[in-house]
Amino acid sequence: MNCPLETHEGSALLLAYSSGRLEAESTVRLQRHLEACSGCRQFVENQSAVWRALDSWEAPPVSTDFDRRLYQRIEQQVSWWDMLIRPFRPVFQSRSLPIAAAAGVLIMAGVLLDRPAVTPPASPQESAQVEALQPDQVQHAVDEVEMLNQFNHLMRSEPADPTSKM
Amino acid sequence: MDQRVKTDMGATAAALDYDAELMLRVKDGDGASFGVLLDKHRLSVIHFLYRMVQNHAVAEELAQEVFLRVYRSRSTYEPTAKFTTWLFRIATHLALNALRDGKHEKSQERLDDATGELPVRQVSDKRPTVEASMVYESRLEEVRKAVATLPEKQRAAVLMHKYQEMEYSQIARVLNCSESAVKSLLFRAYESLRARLAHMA
Amino acid sequence: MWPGWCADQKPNKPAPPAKARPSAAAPANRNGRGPNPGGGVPKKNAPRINTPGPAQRLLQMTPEERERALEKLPPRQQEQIRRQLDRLDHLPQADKDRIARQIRGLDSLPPQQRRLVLQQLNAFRNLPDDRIQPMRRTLIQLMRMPEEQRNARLDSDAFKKQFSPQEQEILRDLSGNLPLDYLPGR
Repeated sequence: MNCPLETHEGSALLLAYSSGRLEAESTVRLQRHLEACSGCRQFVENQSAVWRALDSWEAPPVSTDFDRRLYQRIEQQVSWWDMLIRPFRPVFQSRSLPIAAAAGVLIMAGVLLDRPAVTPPASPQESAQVEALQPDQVQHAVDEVEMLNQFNHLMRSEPADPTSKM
Repeated sequence: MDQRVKTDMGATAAALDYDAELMLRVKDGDGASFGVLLDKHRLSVIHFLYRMVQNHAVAEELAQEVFLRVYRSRSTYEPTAKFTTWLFRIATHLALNALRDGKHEKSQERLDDATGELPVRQVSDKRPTVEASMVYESRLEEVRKAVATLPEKQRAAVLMHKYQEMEYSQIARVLNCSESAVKSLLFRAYESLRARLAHMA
Repeated sequence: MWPGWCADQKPNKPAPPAKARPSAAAPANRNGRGPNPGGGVPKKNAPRINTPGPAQRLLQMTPEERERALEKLPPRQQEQIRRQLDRLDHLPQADKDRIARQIRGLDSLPPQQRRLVLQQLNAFRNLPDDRIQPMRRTLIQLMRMPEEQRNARLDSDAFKKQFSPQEQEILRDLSGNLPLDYLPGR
């Protein structure tokens, strides 16, 4: 067997072996080579250390409200998207539409959707804004105000203050 | 092509089809199937993003954007590749953008001997000793730094290769490059990591 | 009750540029509120347009408009929200003004930055009791520091020994993104 260290392909073989992902037949051949090649043995030892180090890097747990926040964003975005896309829905369902026209619609929609802002632009009419405040947004808004109040309170508090946390 | 290979491809195709099939159901209006996809892939996407940007809050933010884009794209979804290829392509794209946006702001890690004026965080008796915790934290910091110093594409390739156990071909499709380019990325990345982490053996 | 929060504020007023923090090595085109070093997604120099979020719109609603929104909710939730509103409405006016300013500041952030800040504010208030004071003191210190000094502190081993990884993230993200209005006494 030629020394795997000499080629990238060979290094890939050593990588797979050191992570336990090399299939049986190649493993046997490589093990025979390792008995005679200190360079490859060192590579495997060093790479195994890397695998173990990477294995030890655990990611933090996911926030318990991850899904709730995601669905809230979907709800906010999808209603706007649905309003936008409704006139074009027959376009997307039609197979006979010229590709360029369909692509043009998609590009336009994609450009609009790629904008980071979720909240529709503010209207000068206050009542129009208020109409747009969905019931679920009321809870969200109140929670936000309350959170800011609590945060301000925590930031003001000194250790001697018996009401240091609301 | 012999029967054995056909069977393997059939099994792979079946596995590919399941996620893609779920996404097609989402396309048809089945919201529950989106929930199934979310349950199945939430953790791997968040963990990938966390290791890319090394900030948990940002990782969750980006992950939300990933799944939001998946959902938004449902009406035009076509299973031209494995679902996970598409998913991680979105995730990688967002991660690379986030890194580039904050790249010049990211301060260099410094070994600073300055002692703070606040007390060390208390550790309860049930936890590992303070020394053990410090050793663990120190090793973890080395690993994080080692990965953080990899160029972004090398980092993405390593994370997909190591933690998602993706094959070179799939990583190539995620990164939109050739398989040989992926091998080159991984070869250089692991070389860097061995140089920095081999002493931890 | 509610219009008293923002009766003197006109809706849709563009937010003034945030006060720049002293920074020894500020890049030429910074607006003083750049992305959080070492973390944070928002784009530098994103347009500071105040698009009122739900909280700001809530504060601008008349009682009648608020009632119309509330009555669509289930009774139990209505009751809970009314209790929350009642509690908030009895805050000192100075506190209400401060919150209203903070909300406008939040709404002027790019959406991803806004979400990140809200997430970390929430994480801060949910800290264990014994961690609030050290976190509070350090956050105030960090927010008052020039950027370079803040980064150095955040990256120091001493800092990392004092705070858990999650606490480090909270301090990094908030100190780098919160407007100075959030400092006590402002």
